[in-house]
Amino acid sequence: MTRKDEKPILEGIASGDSTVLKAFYQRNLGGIQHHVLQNSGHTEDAEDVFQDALVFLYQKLQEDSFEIQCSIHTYFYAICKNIWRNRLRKKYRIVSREALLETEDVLTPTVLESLQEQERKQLFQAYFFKLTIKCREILALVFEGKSMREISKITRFSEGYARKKKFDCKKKLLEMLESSPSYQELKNASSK
Amino acid sequence: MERTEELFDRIERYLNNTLSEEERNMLELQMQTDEALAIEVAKHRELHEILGDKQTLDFRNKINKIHQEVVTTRKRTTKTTGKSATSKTRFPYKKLAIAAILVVGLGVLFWDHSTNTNTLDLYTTYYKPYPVDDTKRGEIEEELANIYTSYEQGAYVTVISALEKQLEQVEKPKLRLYLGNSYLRTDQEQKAATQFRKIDRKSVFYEDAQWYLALTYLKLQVQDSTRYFLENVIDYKGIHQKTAKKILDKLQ
Repeated sequence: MTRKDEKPILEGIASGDSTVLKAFYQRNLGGIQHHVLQNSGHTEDAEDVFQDALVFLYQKLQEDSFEIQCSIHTYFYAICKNIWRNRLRKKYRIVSREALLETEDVLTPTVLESLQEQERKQLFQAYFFKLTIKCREILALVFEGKSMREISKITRFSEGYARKKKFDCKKKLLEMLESSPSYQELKNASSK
Repeated sequence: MERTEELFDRIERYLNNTLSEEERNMLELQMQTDEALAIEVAKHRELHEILGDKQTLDFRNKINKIHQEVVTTRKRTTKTTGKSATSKTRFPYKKLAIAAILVVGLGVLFWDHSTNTNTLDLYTTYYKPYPVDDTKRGEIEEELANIYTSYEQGAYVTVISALEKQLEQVEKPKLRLYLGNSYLRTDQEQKAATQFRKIDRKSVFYEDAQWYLALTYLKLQVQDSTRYFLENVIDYKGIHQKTAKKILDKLQ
């Protein structure tokens, strides 16, 4: 059962309400930073973990069957800890004692499983956001399945220019992913 | 495998189910014998599947912005409180420490202020009103000649009403540039942006329009939009390319 007083927070996150999200950030970022910094991480790692966990929570909240049995903040902290623990495992092959503290009592096996699956998505999305705004705009339309004619109409670029730009941006995205150690790791893991 | 525009188009049409049956069969047959091609198709499929989730991408975009905002605020706060803590441990130099805090405090205040005005400084440095060209006054209608004179004299309110009337009768992208600039000079940035946006990509004034859009958003301190239009200017490879790159570098 979700706590009644936290219902507006959950609804705000699910609908992407900027005010709720900002308040949630301010309330929780410090705690997550502290945990990651205490466990071999840097501020940037903590910020990445926080964002990935928030996207995960957002996606879960879109599912009708999703329920939280504890405070949203406790739950979110458990997601962050889990993401960071998985990253540490991959990075150093060993994990500190504190980071190893399991969070299974808060996260169900299904949630733990989908957190693992989420890693690939998080990586792709992170690299997508490293592209320029224009690249993101064109590629988002390509991934939506729009034709070059439609893309040209929406962006007001000529069809030739949009096609060339789409190629350059997609090639760059693929090259960035391919040169990322995390991508190689995920690839190796899935081929085992 | 060499990546080409044609290959990407073919794979995308395959993934979108817009290849003809014959083309589709041919590609599938090729994939069976060409492992590199099969791997490339799989990579594209994965990209499309993961990044086709527009809702999540929009959400991530939103939290990226909130993240920047919160992190910047936190860094500033830490900076200020961090300095105060240090002062307590240096009791023998209390006066000196207080003075240092004051200097740092003023510095932080000044820094905050200068960060906010940074984009405005850039705007002031790089903004120049769109110039009136060398067309001999006798070659253009008298009314237009008067508008140009008023524009050069900075009588923007007069120019705005005259140009709005002119543009009701006939579409001239160049006049939109003058109208947009007049709005910009009278602090009506949204109206300026509307005018610049109306200049089509096919127009010879397109680059100027994108340039002034970038400057409009620079003045409004909307960094995302400023960057977007600066990138457009850079891609256009015209007369503003170099300056656009300079501003973009300074914004990063």
